[in-house]
Amino acid sequence: MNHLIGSTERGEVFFFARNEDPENSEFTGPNFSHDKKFLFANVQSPGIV
Amino acid sequence: MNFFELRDGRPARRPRPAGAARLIHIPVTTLTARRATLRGPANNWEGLDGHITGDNHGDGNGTDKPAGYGPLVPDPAGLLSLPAGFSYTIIARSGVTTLETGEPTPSDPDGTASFVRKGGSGDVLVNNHEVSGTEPFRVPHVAGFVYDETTFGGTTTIEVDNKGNRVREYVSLAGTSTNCAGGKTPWDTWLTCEETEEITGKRHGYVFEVDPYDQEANRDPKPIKALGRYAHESVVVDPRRGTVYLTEDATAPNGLLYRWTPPGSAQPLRHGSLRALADDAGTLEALTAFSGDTATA
Repeated sequence: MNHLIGSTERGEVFFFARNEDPENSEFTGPNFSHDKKFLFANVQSPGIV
Repeated sequence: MNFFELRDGRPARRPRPAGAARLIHIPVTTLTARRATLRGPANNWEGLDGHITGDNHGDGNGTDKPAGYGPLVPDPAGLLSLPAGFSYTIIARSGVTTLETGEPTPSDPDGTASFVRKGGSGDVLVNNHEVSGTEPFRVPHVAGFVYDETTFGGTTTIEVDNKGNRVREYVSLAGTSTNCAGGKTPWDTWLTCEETEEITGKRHGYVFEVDPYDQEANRDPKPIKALGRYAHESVVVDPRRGTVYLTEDATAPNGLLYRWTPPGSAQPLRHGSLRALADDAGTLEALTAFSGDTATA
C-alpha cells in the first residue's frame, strides 16, 4: 500500500494518508498551501490531484 | 566530496578517477551517520497497524505517545484514507476534469509546487505530467506553448480558492517529455524536469521554467540548457548563493548529483535570469563520492 508518511522534527515517522485505489499507484508532488491549511498531493495513476 | 566539472554540459563521458571502481560510492560511514539521525521508530517498521507507532523517547514523562494524528480511517469511497478529522477534495482528475481549452486533464500528475494566489486567497499549483507516450491523456498542444510537436508531457497550472476548491486549469507547458519532478525557485517559478534523454522531434532531457502567474512568460518554451541534458529528476536552488543542485534518475551508470554555479553576470539569480542564460553559462559539475579507503581525484 502506498502512503504519505509524515515526520516530526524529532525524526519520528507516521502514516498520514493511504492510497486505497486498487491500482495502488505512487503518491507524487506533495506540498503545502501557502497558509499550511492544505496538503496538496497526487496519485499518479489513474491521475488524481 | 568533490564535484567535477562537465565541460560539455552532459555527462556522456564521465571522468572516472583512477582506482575508483565506481564513480558513486557513498561511504558506509556516511550512511551509518545518517541512519543514526533517524531516531525513534524509523528502524521499526514491523507490526504497523494503521499508523507507524513511535515512542517519544526523551519527552520527559515516560509515556509512549504515537507521533502523528492517529490511525487512518478507511475511506468509504475507496480513494484516500486519512486520520480522523481530516478530509480531502479532488482538484483534478486525469481524463475527467476539463482544461480551459476544453480537453481533459492530462495523465500522470507528478511533481508539483504551489504558490500563493494573487490577492492571497487560494493557491496556484503547477502540476507536472509525466507523459512519455503511451498514457491515455496527453498534454494538449496549445499553440504558442509547445516545445516539440512530437511529445506530450508538460505542465498544467491549477488555481484553487481558499477552500482548496478547483477554479481553473490550463496548459502552461506542452511538447516536453516525461516531466517527473522539479523544484520551486526562490523567485516563485517552477522548474520542471524531463526524466528522459530521448531524441524525437527535438532533443529532450532538459529543465524548463514555468511561471505560475504570467502565462505570457511561458510562451515559446525554451529549455535551460545550461543545467545540462540528462534524465533530470529534481532540482533545488540555494536561495542565498544561487547555486542549483540537480539529481539524475538513471542506472548503468547510476545517476549523479549535479551542482550548477551561475556565472557572475547572472548573479543574483532572479525572475527571468534562467531564460536569458547562454546554453553553456555557468559551471555544471557532478558529485564524486568514494569510500574512505579510495583515493579521491
